Amino acid sequence: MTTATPDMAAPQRSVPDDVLRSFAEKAITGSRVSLTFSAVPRDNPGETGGPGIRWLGPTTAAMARLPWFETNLPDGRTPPQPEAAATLLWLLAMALDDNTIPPTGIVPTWRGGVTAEWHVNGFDLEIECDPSGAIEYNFAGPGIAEYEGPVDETLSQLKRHVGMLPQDRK
Amino acid sequence: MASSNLDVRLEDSQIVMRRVRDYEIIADSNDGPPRPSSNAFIQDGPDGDVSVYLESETTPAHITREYPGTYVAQVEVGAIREQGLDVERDPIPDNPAHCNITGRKSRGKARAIARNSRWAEGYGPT
Repeated sequence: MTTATPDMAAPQRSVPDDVLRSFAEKAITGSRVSLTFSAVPRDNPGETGGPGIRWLGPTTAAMARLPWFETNLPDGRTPPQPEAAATLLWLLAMALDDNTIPPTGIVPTWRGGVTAEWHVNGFDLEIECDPSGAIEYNFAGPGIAEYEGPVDETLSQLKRHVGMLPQDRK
Repeated sequence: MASSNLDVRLEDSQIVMRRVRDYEIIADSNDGPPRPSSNAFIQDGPDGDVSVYLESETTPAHITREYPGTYVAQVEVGAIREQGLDVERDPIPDNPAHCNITGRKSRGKARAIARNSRWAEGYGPT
């Protein structure tokens, strides 16, 4: 697995650095994460992400619904860890275009990680961020060999796969 | 000495049940109605096994009684084996119908299993 660090790839992103930093800091605060994410407008991310970043508001709203502090999880599941959410937001900001459609699901993993999933137009993309910072993803689509494994250091392959997802032109 | 149930290979047509939380349910425009995420069928413990329960020997109500609001997905054993995995009996004191999905679970395999699942009656999203 690849371990993400903020300086791993060149910052060619449209989400401002201060916004990303703010999300990460708020996520890692832990006890404030639910309220913070709930405060992000679901369909209008303008206050926090700048106009036109279509995926950001829905993504953070979906994160707010995760069982951050639930203790009675079945089958030994670990509650999602804020570090994993921060890593995922950072990665999405690096890899997604402003017009990339929002994930169709944000789902916790068994060991406290967080996954962003897209299942649309015959394409499947699932990106998993572990609390340790490790990132893996799976991509499958019509006429395309399925990929499952770590992200590369430049994120070039992930970006190419993300580019195959439909764009939201609203 | 007679064989115990543990030695009997499950039939492909047998159904196993998996507990699914509401935040593990996703929209899948490739497949229609909401379904469990792949994450619901990946790892359940350090050994990677995923807990399921034989539908013929227990009930959704029993396996969810300690987890209110939990949904239940059902899938045939054969659909799991199609992914190169298996289902093995693993009785536990709380429930003799407990089994494990064994084998190396990739995200792609887990997604295929999730897509082949259906909701137990009365235990799916409305």
